[in-house]
Amino acid sequence: MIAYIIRRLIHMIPVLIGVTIITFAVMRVIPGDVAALMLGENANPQDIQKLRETLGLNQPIHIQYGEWLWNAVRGDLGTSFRNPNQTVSEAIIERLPVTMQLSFFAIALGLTISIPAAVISALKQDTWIDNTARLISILGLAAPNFWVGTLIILFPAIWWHYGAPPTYQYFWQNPIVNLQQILPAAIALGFTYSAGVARMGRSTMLEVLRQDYIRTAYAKGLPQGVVMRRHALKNAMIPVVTLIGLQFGRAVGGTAVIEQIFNIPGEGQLILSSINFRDYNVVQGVVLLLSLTVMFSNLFVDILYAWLDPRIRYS
Amino acid sequence: MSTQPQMTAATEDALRPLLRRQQNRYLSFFKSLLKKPPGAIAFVIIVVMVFSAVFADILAPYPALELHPASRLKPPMTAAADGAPYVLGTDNLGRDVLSRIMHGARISLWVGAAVVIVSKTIGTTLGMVSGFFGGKTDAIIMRIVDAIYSIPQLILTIAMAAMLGPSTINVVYAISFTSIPPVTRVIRGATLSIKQNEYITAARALGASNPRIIFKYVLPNVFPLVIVYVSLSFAGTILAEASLSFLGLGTPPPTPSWGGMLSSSGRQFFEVAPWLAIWPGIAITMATLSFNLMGDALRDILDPRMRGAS
Repeated sequence: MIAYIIRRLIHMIPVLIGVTIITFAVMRVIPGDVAALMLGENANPQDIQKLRETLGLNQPIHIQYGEWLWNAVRGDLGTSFRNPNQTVSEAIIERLPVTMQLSFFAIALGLTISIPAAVISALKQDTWIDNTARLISILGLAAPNFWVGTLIILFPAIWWHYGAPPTYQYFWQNPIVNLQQILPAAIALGFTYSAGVARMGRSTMLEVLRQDYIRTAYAKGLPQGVVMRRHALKNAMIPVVTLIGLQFGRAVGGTAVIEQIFNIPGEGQLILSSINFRDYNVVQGVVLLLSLTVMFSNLFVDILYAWLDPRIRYS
Repeated sequence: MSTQPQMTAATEDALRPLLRRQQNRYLSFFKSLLKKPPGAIAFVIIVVMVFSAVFADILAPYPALELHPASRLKPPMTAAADGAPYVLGTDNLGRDVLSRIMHGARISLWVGAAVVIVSKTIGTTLGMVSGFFGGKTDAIIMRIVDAIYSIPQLILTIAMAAMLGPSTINVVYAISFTSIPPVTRVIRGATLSIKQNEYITAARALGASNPRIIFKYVLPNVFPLVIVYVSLSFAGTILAEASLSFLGLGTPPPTPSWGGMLSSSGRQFFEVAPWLAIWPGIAITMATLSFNLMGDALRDILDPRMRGAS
């Protein structure tokens, strides 16, 4: 297992380099001169050229990439073009807790609904409860989360004239206001996650309930609650746990649109505004962070899967 | 003098049952699809959607860009002064919402079809080449695929769409690029399994070239997987296109697109005209739902492990 983990970590290195090359190439090809954007429409061409030299944008692209990579390996992701007083690392760290809180709440809310729904749906297979749960799951997978988010803002505004406080506050500044802002966004995100988990949970639970050891447990006279808790749930949740792990990595990257709708200052909003502003350094830094999150969550899922299921052994 | 062999009447008679079996196979596939209620419902919804998109110019009550300034922000089922009623209401410029949704279906379907064709063709080819040849070819292709796959798809799609500029064709390029890795991985896995079969060894022993083996033996066996993926990725593409349009990176106005309708009039006027935020979302949901259900039904039919399970 240790050898497997080390191999996976080594394998991540060329992938990360590939990620940085792709991001670098994509950002550099975006039309629009960042120096002209920073100085405004009426800027002097000489001033624009001078700023490009200051930012290192006049150098050949492979030199720019090499310098960025060398600095990144030493922990220096550069400074923001938009806000030269702030390093990229500071910009990321400032917004990271917001995105992590949103992702965590989304997944927690999603699981709170989806796992009981999956268990009940499997136990009441082919009844109206099962059919209703399946319909909601399918709708959850099909409905775009930005639409769900828009409706979550819309209906309280119409029915109760309610709107979330406009200025974001961190949890430690004002927990009530923070929850008023984060929870609606988390519900919009969590609805999609819960749909996928509920679907998979129902499917795996049905498979487990058909196993001989479940029949033996019932034959021994064990009540349904005990059978579910001690035998069925643990085995059924193994693939579900891996799905949750995979979703966490994707969740962090999928918050962009939701943060935009709910005006939450997280990594997603940062990267969207940085793309628009051609703030290359920030985009590269955030993409690197998100890619690392995806890769580490995939690795964690594989390790967790092997730990939960003793039959899985990585050679 | 012709050197082509002439088909005799006896040969034709011998081939006729084979052709009939081929036609019956397609018919039975279609019947299997319609036997499953979700598949049947999905099929009907997709047919209705395609029909209304193709014939929107004839079927829609009004042209998509026609303004009715006197009928701005009218609720659903409002009678028009002259013309068909506004079944789903009007937007802030007096445009009929139903007509715009029908025309918007064109964008979604066109983008979906284009993305599917481009990404599945490239992804399937890369997957087969990677899985079949293995070694350095496999390593290089899969490292590139892994790198693209590690970047959150939405972020990369947004960055590429911003790179290329807001237009429908650029949306196709952006979504296609990010849709290639998943299908490459799946097809590679299937190819790795298929190339262990004896008929591949036999073909090699008979002197078949690698391209011939790939396209004559591997491709037909991975094709059912591709078919299932086509339907499922259609759904994902509709969502992705709607997301890009919602962010202003997709089809530029005034051309109607579902995501654009949600973003522009839907969000700005939802307090006074909530239908502007509801109907485009329902359209996106129904389209995505039907392609997802179709993909599930196709997988049930084409995956031999699922046959007879019910």
